[in-house]
Amino acid sequence: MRRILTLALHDLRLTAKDRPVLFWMVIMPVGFVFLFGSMGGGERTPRIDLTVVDEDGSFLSGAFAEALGREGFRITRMTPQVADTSAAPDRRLRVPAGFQDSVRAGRQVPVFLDIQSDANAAASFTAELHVQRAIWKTIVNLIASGHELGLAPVRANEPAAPFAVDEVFESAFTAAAARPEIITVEVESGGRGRPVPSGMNHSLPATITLFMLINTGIYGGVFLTQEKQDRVLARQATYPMSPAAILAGKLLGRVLMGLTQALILILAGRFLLGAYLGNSAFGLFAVILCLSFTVAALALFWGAVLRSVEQTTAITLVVSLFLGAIGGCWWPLDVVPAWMRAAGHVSPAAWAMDAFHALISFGAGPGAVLLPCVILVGYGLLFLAVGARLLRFSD
Amino acid sequence: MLSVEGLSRSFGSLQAVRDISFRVHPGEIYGLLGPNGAGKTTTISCICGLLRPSSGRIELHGTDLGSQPIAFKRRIGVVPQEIALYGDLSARENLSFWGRLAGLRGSALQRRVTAVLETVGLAERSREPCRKFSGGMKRRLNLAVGMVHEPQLLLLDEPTVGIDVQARINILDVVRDIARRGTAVLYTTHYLEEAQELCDRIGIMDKGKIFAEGDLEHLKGLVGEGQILTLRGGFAADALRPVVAADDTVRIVSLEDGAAMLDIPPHRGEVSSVLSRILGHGLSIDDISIQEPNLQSVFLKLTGRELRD
Repeated sequence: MRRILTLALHDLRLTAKDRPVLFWMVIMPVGFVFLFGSMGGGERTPRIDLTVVDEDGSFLSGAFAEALGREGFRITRMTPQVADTSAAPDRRLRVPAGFQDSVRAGRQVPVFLDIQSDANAAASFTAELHVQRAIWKTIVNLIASGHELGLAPVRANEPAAPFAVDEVFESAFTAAAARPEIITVEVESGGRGRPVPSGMNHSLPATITLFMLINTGIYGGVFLTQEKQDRVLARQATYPMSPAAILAGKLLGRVLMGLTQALILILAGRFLLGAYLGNSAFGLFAVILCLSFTVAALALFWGAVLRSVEQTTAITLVVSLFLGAIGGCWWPLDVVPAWMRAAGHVSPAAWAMDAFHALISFGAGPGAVLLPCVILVGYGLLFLAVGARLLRFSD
Repeated sequence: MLSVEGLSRSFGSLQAVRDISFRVHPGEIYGLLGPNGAGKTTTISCICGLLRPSSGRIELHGTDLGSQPIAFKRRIGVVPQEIALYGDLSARENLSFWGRLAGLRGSALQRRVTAVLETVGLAERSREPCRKFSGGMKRRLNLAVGMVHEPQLLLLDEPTVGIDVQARINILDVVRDIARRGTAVLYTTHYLEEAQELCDRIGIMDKGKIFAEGDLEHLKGLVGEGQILTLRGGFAADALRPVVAADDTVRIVSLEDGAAMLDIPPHRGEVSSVLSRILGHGLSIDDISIQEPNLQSVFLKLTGRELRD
């Protein structure tokens, strides 16, 4: 066991001695997490900006704007004069003059939502829904305050009698608006139709997976190729260790490389970039450990079958990038067609990403990562068996 | 004591080692001498457990390699023909790693690393990455790695290939010193002078077989008391052959156009008689040398072939 550990720690030491390691294992992957996390919407629950141009300036138009604010919008109020001289915002809601009078008289009155063509489409769609909700809530509050004041109900196809918007009415309306909602809707995602992982929630696990594939693959593969070339591996085989023990040492070394890479990114992601890591530390550790085993075994496979350092570097890099791409490290598999999603699961990266997303984006517990972990270990055993079979300690 | 009995190793249809047997005693330097492709490295590879013998038995102090490989390997040190080191690590780091792999730990490891660095003359540059070393320094470090854990048997496979005279002298001195302390040494080389100078006993190997073994005097005795007459000149091999063959006591060791080696009996006047006969047939000779029997003549007599580098 001590010799296995000696071999494993030796590989870590060789990795640390490589000068570009700081760039490949720290600077570049942390940069990736930040860059892709920011590009994909780094905030978990972004607030949507909405500019309200109140041309009416009445109690009811103000109450409507407040209802919009309660919908989670970041409201910017503007007078028509200021709005005319300002640059057009992404989303602008115009409440026309005569809004309150029309409502009092029971006449239909439109409000206008202007959306810039380059505004975030998803945010604008959400804004539309929330504007609708604010309208409904305002109507509900009108009905409730009318009922409170004993106003005669409006019958269908009959003109409504205008009501006075005085202090009594305002007080009744404000009280109605402050009441807790009697019926609420609890929304829970399940099965298909779940939200697409984005921002740091995607970029952190994607970068962990991708750089474990790349760095463990390249360093782990190149070290073994170099040892074969320099006949160091043959020399190791003359020491009091079985070939299986030598393989175990090399596998452990590469597992430690993978864990180191993951640890660097998790610490940087959590404490430097404020990324969310889910609620199950055990589940997260299980996924990372299984993925480390898989990439370690894959690195041994590369080292066993490839003959030169140059060949190993080039092939490992290209294949790692490919496995990462089809496995959902560059973009979430949720955005690709179903056949591509299914084909992508040929890559171990896809199973790792499934597990990470379950924990981080969908709040699942450790039970959700069991299947991906079993499959990752299966891949690892396959790579290990083929690599061990093909590895030659001497010519 | 290393005991090799009936060792054979084949690669497909090629028999690299054919039923060889020899022993190496503690404190003895046993040389395996032979040309490239003779089977020396295959023999060493079998003894260090790198290759599985096709047949035969290898034991060290009663520990059988086949049934107790780990225990066997614990007692041996190997210096391969190639410089098998980590170029990015310093001499000290290399020795520490290999020493740890051999089972040394803590202060014992540090003590041994320091000692072997002194022995091979690398103490002052022990902290430099060894990729910066000269070929001779790397060879010395290669040797140091094999002996850092004080093995009972040291296997050296052509450890002086491609180095300068000073480095070679240092390595040979170190090997002698190791043997003096009781380590059995198995040393393969194709340098005749090296084997002659260093080894207590020599096995002459070619085509996978050991043709003869013993100390130098014993091997010289195999050639007889004769002298080796080497001739160079403008003669044709076909013209010289019948002239020499007329004398039953003279044996042709090697013959080609312009060069011949003849085994001459030690009778008084025999050399001048042979030369007179050749010159009498009108064959021209430009250069003559007469040698006492040596390892080369033993090798030529046993294998009928020139040593090849």
